[in-house]
Amino acid sequence: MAAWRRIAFRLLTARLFRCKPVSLGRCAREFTSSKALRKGNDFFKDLESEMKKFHEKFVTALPGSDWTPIHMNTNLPPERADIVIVGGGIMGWAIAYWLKKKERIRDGVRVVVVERDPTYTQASTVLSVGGIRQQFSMPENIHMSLFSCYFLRNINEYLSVMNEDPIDVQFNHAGYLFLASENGAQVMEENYHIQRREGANVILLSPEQLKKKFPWINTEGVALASYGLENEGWFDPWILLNAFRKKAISMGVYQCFGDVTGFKTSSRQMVTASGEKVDFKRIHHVIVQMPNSAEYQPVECALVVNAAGAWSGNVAQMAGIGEDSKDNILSMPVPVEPRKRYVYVFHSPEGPGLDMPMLIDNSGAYARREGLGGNYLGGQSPTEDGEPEVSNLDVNYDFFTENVWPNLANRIPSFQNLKVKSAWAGYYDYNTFDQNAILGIHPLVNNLYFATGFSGHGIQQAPAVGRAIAELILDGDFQTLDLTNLGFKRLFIGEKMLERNIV
Amino acid sequence: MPCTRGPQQNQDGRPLAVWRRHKPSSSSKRPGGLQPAGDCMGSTGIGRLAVTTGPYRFSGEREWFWENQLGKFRGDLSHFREIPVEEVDAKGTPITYDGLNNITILSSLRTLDLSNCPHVDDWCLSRLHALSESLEELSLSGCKKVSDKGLATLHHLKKLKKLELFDLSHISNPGLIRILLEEVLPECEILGIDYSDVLKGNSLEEINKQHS
Repeated sequence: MAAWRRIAFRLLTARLFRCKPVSLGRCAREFTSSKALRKGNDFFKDLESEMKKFHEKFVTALPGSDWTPIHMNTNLPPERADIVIVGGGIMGWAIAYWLKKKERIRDGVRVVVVERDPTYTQASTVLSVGGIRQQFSMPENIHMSLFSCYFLRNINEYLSVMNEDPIDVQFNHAGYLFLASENGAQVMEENYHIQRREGANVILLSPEQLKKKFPWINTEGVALASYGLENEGWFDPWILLNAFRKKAISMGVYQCFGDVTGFKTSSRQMVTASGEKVDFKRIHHVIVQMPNSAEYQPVECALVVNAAGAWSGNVAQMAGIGEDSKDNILSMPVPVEPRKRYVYVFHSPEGPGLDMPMLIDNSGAYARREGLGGNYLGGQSPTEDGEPEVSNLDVNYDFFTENVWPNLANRIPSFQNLKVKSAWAGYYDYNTFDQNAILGIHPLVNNLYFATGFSGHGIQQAPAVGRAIAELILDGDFQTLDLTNLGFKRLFIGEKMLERNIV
Repeated sequence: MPCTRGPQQNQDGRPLAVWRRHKPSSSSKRPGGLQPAGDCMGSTGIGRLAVTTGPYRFSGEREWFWENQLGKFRGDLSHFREIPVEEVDAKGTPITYDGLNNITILSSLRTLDLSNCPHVDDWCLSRLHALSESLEELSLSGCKKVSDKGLATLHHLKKLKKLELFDLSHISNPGLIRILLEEVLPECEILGIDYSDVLKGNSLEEINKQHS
């Protein structure tokens, strides 16, 4: 009995053993060849991937993730801000940086910088030649430039951001060389005394000394020359702009790409001592429109800074300045308009070498060395009636051939042999009143500050202007440099603060 | 007057017991390692004296003056009050832009050694135009912050006869800089840069090998 059971058991197990590898494979093949079961396998595989997708969607819908069923445009500026700066050029970002630097508690002021064009195709800052000089006739200009030089020398103490490379603005210390004919020699000498008194390192050269120092100059017609020995030269404005921008954003400034299309203002009528009725305006909202879209955001703000460069006049008009037909201060427009200037890049094989400064001829033509390969930048400011039209930034090469080249070749004979490589054009934010900056608060629009009208010497005054406007806003008055002479008052009483040394 | 430089650049020759190059206390008090001129010496006469942490030598003398361990100079230094300073050796000192105030006033300075100074940059070089009437030898070897733009400012130094520019490997186009400097300073001998230093130290042969 037991033996049979044992044999039967052994046979059973043997069968199972024998069956196991072979029969299962056959069974599996039989199974998969069946259509229904093939679908079933896909169903399981699909189920797995479907479960995965569902899981991902579920996780994103949970709180803590970015997804929301309501479509939100994160490019809009914040609904409320303390200070809105219109214009993201060098002035706008310098002011934003200094505001953040001077706020005494963290997040003390919420600053928003609104810039229309993120590619900066028309901004004066990046199209600038980037020169810096102290050879001005107004002490305010000299001091602003001196401070800016100090700022650039210590730029890493001001603008370095943790974990970023140290900033190098590529400063060339070549100096500016102004040439004056008989007519301008008197003015040049007076300016020289002012400059030396304010601390600029400038020397005067007679034609003989000039020839000895720079043998490649033709000194015919030159009565006097003024040469800056230190703190004068040129640098890269794009690097400075980006340094300000990066640092300001790291300190908490909001950057918004949009177009300021209007202001919402309110006005209050008050009576002056002499019985005149005056309208005091106040800006409550800045309307920022998104690029390529009809979407806009009104930003409620306390103060607005107009740093819009060549378009500052338009921005001021949005606040009602210059639109009033009555004959009062509000009807006087801000006298800043865009003026187009050309810069030409040319190569001259026998041109002056390392000792070439930024040379400004008495005819108004200027030229400077660019790099080490015999390339130079040159240009000239046109006369009042020869101003090019400003609707675009196209370059007129005939202007070089007819006006700039003869003057340059006359002064530097080796420039008779040159070849124009390329050129570009940029706008000056030209102050038609007296070609100097307009800094300060508008007397009738109580919360609109201006930092505009630099007429070609803005980039070299930017760090100082940023500090000055920040002092006006946060401290109430100028603290370090007194720039009240560059305020609005001179526009209304008609007193021109002329800068006699304009390039 | 013989213009010997005194002990040359070999540090071994200097008795370390007498000369302390880096004094942490003085560096922290006055950045640049220099004390203002007129601090302990009279500031009248043709050349004012600036007390530095480095050694210096007077014209006509063969001996160099050093600090001792306490930071004081030999007592008979005051005898040289009226004699202009001819050579300053600020090798390796942490001299800065403001520290150069003491050097630019030395109107008879003939030799200036600023090699291996870590804070000397283009801005410092732009101040050296004040020495254009007298400076004959200048060394900027190993100054890592100097670039070609700073070297371009040396065109003011018309009397320069020897310019040492060793170990400036961070400058792009050193050979081109040498050619351009020789154009503006025809009487100056420039050491340390080879004409074939085209691309950051690669020699002309190596470049030819790469392209062949």
